[in-house]
Amino acid sequence: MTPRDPDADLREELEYHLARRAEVNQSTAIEARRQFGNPTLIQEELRAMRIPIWLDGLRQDLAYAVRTFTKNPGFTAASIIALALGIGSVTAVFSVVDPLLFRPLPYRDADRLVSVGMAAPIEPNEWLLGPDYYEWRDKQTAFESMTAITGRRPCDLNASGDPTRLHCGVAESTFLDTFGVHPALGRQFTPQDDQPHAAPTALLSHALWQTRFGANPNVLGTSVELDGAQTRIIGVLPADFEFPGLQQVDFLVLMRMDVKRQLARQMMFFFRVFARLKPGVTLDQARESLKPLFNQSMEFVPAHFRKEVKLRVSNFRERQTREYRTTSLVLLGAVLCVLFVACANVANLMLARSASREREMAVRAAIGASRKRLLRQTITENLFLSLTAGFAGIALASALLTIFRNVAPQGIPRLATASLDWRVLSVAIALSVISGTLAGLAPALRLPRAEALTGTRTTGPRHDWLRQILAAAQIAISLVLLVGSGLLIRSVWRIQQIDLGVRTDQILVARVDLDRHRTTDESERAFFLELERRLRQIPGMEEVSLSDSIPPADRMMTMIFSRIEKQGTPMDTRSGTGGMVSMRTVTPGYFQALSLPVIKGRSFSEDDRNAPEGLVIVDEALARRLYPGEDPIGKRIRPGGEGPHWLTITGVARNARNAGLFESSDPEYYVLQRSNDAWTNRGRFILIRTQRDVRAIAPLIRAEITRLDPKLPVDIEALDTRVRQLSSRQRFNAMLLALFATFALALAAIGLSGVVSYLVTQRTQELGVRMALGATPGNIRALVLNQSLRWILAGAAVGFAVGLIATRSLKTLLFQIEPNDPLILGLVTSILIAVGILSAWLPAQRAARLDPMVALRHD
Amino acid sequence: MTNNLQGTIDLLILKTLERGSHHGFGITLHIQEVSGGLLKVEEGSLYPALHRLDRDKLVEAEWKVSENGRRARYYRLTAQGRQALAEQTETWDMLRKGVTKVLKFA
Repeated sequence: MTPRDPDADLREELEYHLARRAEVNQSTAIEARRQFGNPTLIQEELRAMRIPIWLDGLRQDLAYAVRTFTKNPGFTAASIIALALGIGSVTAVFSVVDPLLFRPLPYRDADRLVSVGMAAPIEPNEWLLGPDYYEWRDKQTAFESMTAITGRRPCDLNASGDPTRLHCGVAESTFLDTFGVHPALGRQFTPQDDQPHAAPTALLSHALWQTRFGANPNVLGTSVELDGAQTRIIGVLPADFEFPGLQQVDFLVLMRMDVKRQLARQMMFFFRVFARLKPGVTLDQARESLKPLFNQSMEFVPAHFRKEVKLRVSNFRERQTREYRTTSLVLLGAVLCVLFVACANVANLMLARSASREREMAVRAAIGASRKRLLRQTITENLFLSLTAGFAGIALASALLTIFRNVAPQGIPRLATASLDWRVLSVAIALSVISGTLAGLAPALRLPRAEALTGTRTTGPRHDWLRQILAAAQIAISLVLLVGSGLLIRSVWRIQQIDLGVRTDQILVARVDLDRHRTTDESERAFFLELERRLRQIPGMEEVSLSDSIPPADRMMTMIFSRIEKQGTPMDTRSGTGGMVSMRTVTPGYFQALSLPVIKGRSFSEDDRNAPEGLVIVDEALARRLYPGEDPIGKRIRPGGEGPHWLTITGVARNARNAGLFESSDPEYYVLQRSNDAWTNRGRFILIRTQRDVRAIAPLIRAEITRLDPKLPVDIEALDTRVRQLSSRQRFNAMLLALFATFALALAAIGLSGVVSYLVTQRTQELGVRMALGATPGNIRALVLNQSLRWILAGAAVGFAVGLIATRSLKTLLFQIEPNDPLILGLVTSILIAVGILSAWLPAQRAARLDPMVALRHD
Repeated sequence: MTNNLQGTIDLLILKTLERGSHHGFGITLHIQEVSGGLLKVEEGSLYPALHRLDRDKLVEAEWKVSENGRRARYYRLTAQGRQALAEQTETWDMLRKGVTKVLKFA
């Protein structure tokens, strides 16, 4: 027999029974049915036997919930949208923040990893100089092992004549061991590989192995041309490998330092140092045990600098996320606020709904539903609602995450791999359950009261209070978020107002790095000067200049002020460094290309390329420092105080920003790159000013460079794009916070409007009486608005106070603006109050238009 | 001893089915006749009891054509059911003896 519907089976069975009874008793079917009792009840009972009772209850509750929700589409949509906004925002931000702050690191016992070194205001993240590192490494007692990296550098892979600019992580041979990373394939580095003259070896990143080497295991032992040197591939890094700075690296290569020369301080490299604590050793103990070594190293630090330098041992994760921690926490806090506003909003909606359902509940209680059963019904409804909202929220989060990825600035660690995985999803589900419970708490705890049956209104004033407090809380929280985003937006605006001192529009910057292993200084100089000459011949190029760096910041060369010797004055370094001075080497077109005015003396001319003596232009700041009250033109200086190269000052240029957007600028001088001068460092920027569309010009430049050297990787960008990128993080933060503040504000406005509408409905009869007694529509509107305004103002006052405290945590994210900036505080508070009044206006208007006759009859 | 009235109706059903398969109505009829009208099984208890016994695999149900030519659901004892009947008959005897003794003592 085929399985059939058990209900149908049962019905047939019972019908048979009834029929037989009628037959035997010779009575009518109706009579038989009467005797039989309630067949539906039996069916219910039997059904209960088939399915576990709670499941059936759940089914009933759910069916009931769906029915009530579809009957109130407005309420349902509003609650789901509100909760989905909250849950979606939190989920999206959490998916980005989780890999940064909470997720386990891909290293063995990562909590024992530390970052070690000196820290000072000029470089707040721990560093060590080569000789100090080697001393410490060999003498320390707190660590199982210590290792150093010099960081990431661009490197050129030349495979089958197709040069690619890739990135090499440069580390000591102990690096992988210290971090507890095992190659997915092949072997670790050995100390022999790390000798200065050892044959170059490298480990491949898993991604590069897959894409470029077809995941072929035979790649082990083969050689590739890396930066012009035949490099043997000895292993493949695991897929989840992370370089400490979280930058993408394609190869891991060795520093191959000459340790003896470093220890003799003939050559000093700048290291980032990491170590693995011995089991049971704390950060403090490690720091204590390093003190003697630190003090020893301090002997070599210039005296005036010494008191600024601190010894620091930090937890590795703390070091890694230091920069992002505040932003992450601020954003997480912001979205939690949004979620809270959403919960308060939905709680209010539910309160209103539960009031209107009071009679229904009372009826159910009266016909025998237990209190537990009713509570369960309410909870089921709330969970149904919040889980539906949760799924909508997850969809929203996925959309937000896509947006984040597309607009986020470069360099937010692990953003590319952030996803809505099971961790994030379980948080989203948990949030749904929690927020559903929170929002449903108030109505769920209300006892259905018998009085409700009588039809008189039983909603006590207590609930009106709760409702208005919830509305005011939403306003308060929105204000906090608005203040925060206002401050960040103002910071971005301030950043945009920064006077860079140079023009950035209509300028292209091409960065060219010659293969270090194929060129000599001579050939490189020839290459660049030829390139400059050729670019000038392209129609539409107004000015072309070579420079070793570009403003407002890019790997500037720096010089200590006290080491700049003025001709005729003996150098005096006893009074300290005098701070740092920036220097650039430029060809004559530099000042025209950037519209940087030379305000005294003269700019460099084409003829100066063959000038017999070195020429230099100083900026106003340096001119004032070197020759206060004197005319610097024609004076001669010798930076570094050594060698025969005196430079004659031909002009004074206006100050231009040279230490990035956020740091104050250093004094600066520009050394002319003469045709026969020795080439100082490799790699040059080419600045091109044009009247044509910069995007149209870029391919022409690229083509010209390729014509000179087809193997060369080129990087071309508009200067203003580059400058914008310097503040892209600030812009991103401001955008996100503004987005979330808007969510909160919209929710609060809708919530407030809902509460006022509700109150108007509650007071309809009273308002009718007032109108009958002569109140004008204007009076009624004022009455409703007044009441709302009290709560708006109360919310705004609380939000203002909390905002003053909360925005202090933003301090490090702000630029040239105080957290208590009166303009922003005043502006956003006014906006908020205006939005509040506006959202109370509509229901107030509705109240004013009430027909007193209808209102009086309102039950 | 954990018996109750529910146990009693189970016992009555099992005993009725010992002599062969029956549909629900037949079971009530049989019990009513055999007890001389003293015991009357309510449909409200019969069907839940039957389904419970079915669920516990003490009886098996099967659709068959009945004596009046309509389809009816027939119940039949299983081996387990037979065993349960034996156990419950014994339990019932002890209960009856125990109750009788208590009542006589008073």
